[in-house]
Amino acid sequence: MTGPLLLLGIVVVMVWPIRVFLLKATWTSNTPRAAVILWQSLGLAVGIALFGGCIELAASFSSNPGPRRSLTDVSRSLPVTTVSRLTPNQEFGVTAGLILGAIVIGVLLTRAVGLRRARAYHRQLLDLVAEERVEIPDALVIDHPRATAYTLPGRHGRIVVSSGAVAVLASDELAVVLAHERAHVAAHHDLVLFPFETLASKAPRCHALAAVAEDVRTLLEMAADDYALRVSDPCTFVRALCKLAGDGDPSLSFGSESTTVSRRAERSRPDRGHSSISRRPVA
Amino acid sequence: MAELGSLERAVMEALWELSSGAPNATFTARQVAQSFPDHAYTTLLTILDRLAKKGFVEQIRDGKTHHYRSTKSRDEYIAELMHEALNGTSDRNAALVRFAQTVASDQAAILREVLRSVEGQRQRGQDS
Repeated sequence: MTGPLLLLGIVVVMVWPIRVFLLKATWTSNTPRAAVILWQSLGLAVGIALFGGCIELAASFSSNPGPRRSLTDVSRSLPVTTVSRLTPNQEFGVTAGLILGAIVIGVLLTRAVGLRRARAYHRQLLDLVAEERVEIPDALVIDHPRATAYTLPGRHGRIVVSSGAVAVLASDELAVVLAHERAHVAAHHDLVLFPFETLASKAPRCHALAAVAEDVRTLLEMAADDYALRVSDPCTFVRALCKLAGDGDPSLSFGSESTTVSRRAERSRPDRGHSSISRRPVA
Repeated sequence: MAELGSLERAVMEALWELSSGAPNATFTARQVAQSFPDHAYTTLLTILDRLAKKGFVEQIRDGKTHHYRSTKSRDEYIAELMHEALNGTSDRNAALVRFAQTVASDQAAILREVLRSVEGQRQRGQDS
């Protein structure tokens, strides 16, 4: 029984102490991309450990009192014709593993199809009402007073800014915002975020999963910020962030507990000696 | 889902233009065709048909002739886009802005504080 217990132990350690440690860590702000890769590895490891745990559990139920059967014995006896050789306990373990895997893959596929459709519709609407402007060559402008900018991800992704944002932002501030959005597109952040958000949205009661998805989202925003800060200075960046925040509709705030914006603005401060950004000379 | 061609967009704009005074008015393909003297009437019929299939245009049959009107106004579509962009229903990988817009007022104060300190540092850097 040590095999499944070991895997279960790995899952528990990763799901609880390591997750809490990573969520609380502040150093992740300095290395957002590394932190995202850490989250990805953690998620993958939990998935593999859970799946492997089920199979290993099956293997540990010895079909006869003889020597303990190993994982390979079970997998050798897996072909359909010989499946009857498995004891009910083993069948349970194998089935549980397969069902678990199928559920995860099914959930991901379903949401991928839904997202694809929603994005295609969104793109059609953009084609219908958005305009191109010569002064903003790689973005579409939609005529709305509220200042916003976003990326429509996908193969035919688009960067969209509202006319309100164009009006309120100075040209260097707009350049930062566009650089930030371009970073999302270039690095395929939508694909990175996809598994986290999908699993979190399918288990809305699981606050841990939601917190991890939220952290990954923030880290990706920070990664895009780092990219934007290469073409700009922190001052312009924070000014753009403030202008866009200042335009927020108070009714949408709901007294949000999110500390994301201040966390993002804070890391662009030049006096933070260890920040990856501040090493650049500010002038 | 096919992309929307530029002629489809032009036809939608013509319909919005026609109905700017009367939101619920319907128009025949001939009326729409008057805005497109360079295009064949049959081409316009095809475009209107395509737009109707995509749901952007309503096709109302009155005897032998078809009447058309835009399903939603331009502003309604823009509102739809903005709503989606701000709520991220289809696209959670959104913007620089999204977090900024969920920011509470005390956090906006922190932001302004950071901005002030950043600008102060910059000033001092330039002075020295």
